[in-house]
Amino acid sequence: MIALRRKLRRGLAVAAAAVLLAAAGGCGPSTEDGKLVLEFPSWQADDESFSPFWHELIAAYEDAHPDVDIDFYQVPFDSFVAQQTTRFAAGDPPDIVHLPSSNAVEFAARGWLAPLDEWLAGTDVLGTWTQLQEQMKWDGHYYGLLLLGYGYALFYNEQLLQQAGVQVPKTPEQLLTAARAVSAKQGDSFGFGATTVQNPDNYTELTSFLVGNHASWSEPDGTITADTERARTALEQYREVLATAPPGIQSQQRNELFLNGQIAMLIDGPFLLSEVEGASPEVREHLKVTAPPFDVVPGGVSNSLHIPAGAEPEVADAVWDFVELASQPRWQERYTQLTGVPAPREGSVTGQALAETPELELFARLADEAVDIFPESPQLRRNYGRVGDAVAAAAIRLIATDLPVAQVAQSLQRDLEGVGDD
Amino acid sequence: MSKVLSRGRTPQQWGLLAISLAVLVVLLFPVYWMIMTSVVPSKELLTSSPPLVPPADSASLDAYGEVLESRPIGLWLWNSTLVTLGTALISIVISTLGGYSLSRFRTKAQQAMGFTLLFSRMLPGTLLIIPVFVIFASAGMINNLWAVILVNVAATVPFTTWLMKGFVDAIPAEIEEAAMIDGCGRLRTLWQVIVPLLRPGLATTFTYACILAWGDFLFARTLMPNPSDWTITVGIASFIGEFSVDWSGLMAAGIMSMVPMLILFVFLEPFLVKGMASGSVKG
Amino acid sequence: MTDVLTHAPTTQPSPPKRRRSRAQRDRIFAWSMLTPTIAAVGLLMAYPIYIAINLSFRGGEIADLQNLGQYPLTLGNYADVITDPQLLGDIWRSIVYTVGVVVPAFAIGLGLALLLNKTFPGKRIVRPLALLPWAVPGVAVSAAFSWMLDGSFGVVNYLLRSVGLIEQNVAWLASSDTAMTAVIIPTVWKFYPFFTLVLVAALQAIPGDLYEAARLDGASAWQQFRYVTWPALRAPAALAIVITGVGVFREFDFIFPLTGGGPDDATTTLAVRIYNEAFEYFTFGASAAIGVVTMVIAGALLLMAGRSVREGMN
Repeated sequence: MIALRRKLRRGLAVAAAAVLLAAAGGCGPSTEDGKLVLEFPSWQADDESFSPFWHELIAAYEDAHPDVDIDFYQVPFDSFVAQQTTRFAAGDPPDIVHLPSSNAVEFAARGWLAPLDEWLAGTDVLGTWTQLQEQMKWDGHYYGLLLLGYGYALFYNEQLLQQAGVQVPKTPEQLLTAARAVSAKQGDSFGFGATTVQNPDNYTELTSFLVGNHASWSEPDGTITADTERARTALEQYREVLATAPPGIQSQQRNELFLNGQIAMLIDGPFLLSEVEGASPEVREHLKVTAPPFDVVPGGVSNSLHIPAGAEPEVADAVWDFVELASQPRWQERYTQLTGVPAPREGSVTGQALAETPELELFARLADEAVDIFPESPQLRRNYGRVGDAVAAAAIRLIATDLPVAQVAQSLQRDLEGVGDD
Repeated sequence: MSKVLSRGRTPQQWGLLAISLAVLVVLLFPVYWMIMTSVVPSKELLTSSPPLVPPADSASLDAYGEVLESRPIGLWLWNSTLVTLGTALISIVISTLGGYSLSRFRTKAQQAMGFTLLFSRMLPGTLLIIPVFVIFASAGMINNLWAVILVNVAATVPFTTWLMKGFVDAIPAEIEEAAMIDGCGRLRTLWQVIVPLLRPGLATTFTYACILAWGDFLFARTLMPNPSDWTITVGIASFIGEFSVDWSGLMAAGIMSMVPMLILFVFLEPFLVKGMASGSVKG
Repeated sequence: MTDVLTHAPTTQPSPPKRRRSRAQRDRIFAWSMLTPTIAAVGLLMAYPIYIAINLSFRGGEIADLQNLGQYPLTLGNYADVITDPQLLGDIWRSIVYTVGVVVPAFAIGLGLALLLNKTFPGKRIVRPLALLPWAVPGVAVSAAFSWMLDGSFGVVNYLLRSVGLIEQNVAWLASSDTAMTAVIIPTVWKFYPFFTLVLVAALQAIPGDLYEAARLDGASAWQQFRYVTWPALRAPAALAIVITGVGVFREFDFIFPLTGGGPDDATTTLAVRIYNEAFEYFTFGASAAIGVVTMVIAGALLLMAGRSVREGMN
């Protein structure tokens, strides 16, 4: 310490800082024993249902590319996007970029991702992929390969519905009746499960009701449509159904209650099935899944692969090879089989996969019909974070206050119109 | 403080113990509930009248076994220990010197600098984290323990320096003046006269630095993303998944994460108990 | 540490060779003692703070913080931030949160310190246990409280219902009326032990004969506290309040995981807003501008507090 102090006193502090700061530039592709190492952080690296697929895919890739190693590692989901944001903003992105798809457009709009059009043109992806791949498009270019697009499904506890004397709902009205019937019974059971604290999950849940009612937040030309007749109907339905839900909980607590057999119904994507498999046997046998009780199947995009902008050509090509491998029919089928959710390539649900996971038939059908819940206005898409917050705030007003629906819809309309003005 | 008078226990002392225990029951309830959550299945706790003591038939320590088996919790604790000890040791040396300086030399410029130190902590870490990442990425120090130690030192030192200043303030200047008249150099005086008197302060400051470093999540998760470098806080966060939270595992890891700091508190005791300052100030 | 300090005297300029006045030598000594602190903080904080300030004056779609020069200079971020009516609310909530945490944390800390300074059986076990909440990492604290404050089956609701304080379950984190309280409670819980520790250390330094003298003069317990204990505690208490206040004012680890700033912005403090602007909305310029405004406000509050602290300390 003293030695350091003396140096500093002689004015070397400046130099020391300069050394630490200016040691930049060594930003070439990282190599180890002459091998190219591709960094691949993901929140699925430890995930029970998704990581087996990734490990198999990576092993196959490394077999085919003996000169490339993939450093695949776990980043906690909780801070994953913040961590990637830090890295991109600091100019040090990972090589293989794996993102929750709701953030992909935001990253693309900031110039952080490379357009994939030229590479995609050499494949059959655009002809064989689900329509939801369009969510990877920004400003006329594709910026990613969608790995999972889905339609929302109704998960329900058959026993709770039977005990309340109600059928599995097929319309929003029946959903409300059934949810009320279960909640009215004595005991600690709830008719419906949802996220009832302010959280990004409010967006997907509220928007499912919206899209299910043929409504949307915006038009592709940028018009905001949050205060239409249909939108108000959806907000009203959401409010009434959520009145039967356990208050003040987050989505993970919601899932926990469902798996414990304390929630009769909830609406979520097919990935919830793997959680359902983890329920205790006496509850598991009653948990079923069916189409959502709406005219329109709401859908979403889960996660996608990307290449960072400005990557060295050698690295970008190696990453593309990996993305391309993931898109091949063999691996798409494998994905479907291992994860129990339909991969985005047409015809990825094989007989074998179906034998293991019969629900895949339903999921594949829902994914085909799905209408995306993400906003269509480009202004809203590039500012999804702000949109998500505005909608979540509206959702919480519907849940936790008595404000009239019309007023909530009006103020949401105003909030959404203001998005992107600053 | 040695009270010579009371050898035996007076009723009043038993009363104080009773009050202390009552207070502890309230204050430590969250820790108790963390333990409950780690040993009782969530299904039994998520009811409108949860049990307040672990039911004998369903409580188990399985969560601990599972966490120890499936997660490298020892590694996380070790990484946290290295970061914490590194941060606290460097901080305590730096801030003893700095605190002494701020306490004993009160020029305008010194005081302004002291204020600037505190000021540097006004910006939330979340705003500074991207530039901090730039610094260490440029220096090739991502996934390097020293990066986290250095930035934790920088984050801790403004507080610990002021803390030490406060403790030095409490020591009358006459003591060291006497020592210096005896021919001791200033640093020698600091080391031989002041530091022994500062023991409760040093212990307090050391603990404070340890707690800050032990609880750091932002710097650790940003600068050491590699799972083999995770600290215990990043490990705890990893129990929160996309679709579910492993509550019992999270609470088990949380309980285990307290143990090293609790041990630190126990070691701290003798430093606090000896009312050293009182005796020496008089003499 | 030993190593450092025993070698240290060699850095002392030796008097015979360099003739400097006592005051000059003192000044050099004073600054050289402070240098490691300045270096540690300066090396790692100066650059980020410079970037933050630079960033706050940049317009356009900022995506690359390493090359800020490419973005146009503007005062637009400040104009937006200062004219945004939400800012006043954010400032107010930051103050409510800070005061709401510091006051109860100090009260609990002081009460415990006085209690733990007494002699009673089992004190050696009680004392470390009283500090235990401090040992829990913030991540675990927020997870534990989100579990306990669960609006449906949280144990807090159960306990309050059992003792008759509430009739219906309260959705603590979902209602604008209760959310601020719900984020203050875990923060108080985490911060009170620091006050306890600092005040216990300060109490230990009070010479016992002062109390004896006071007793001989016939002082009551309250008078002993007022005229012996409190004067000795004032300086460390003021310091601990300032340090905790600065920490809590920019605290984020408890609010964000519990409420994300909601419901309906009821817990959006400046620190949460800064995070949301940067990491949820990707408006780095606005985030930095709010950061600088925060720094100015906090600095002003600190200066005001500084006066009372100086009074308390001198």
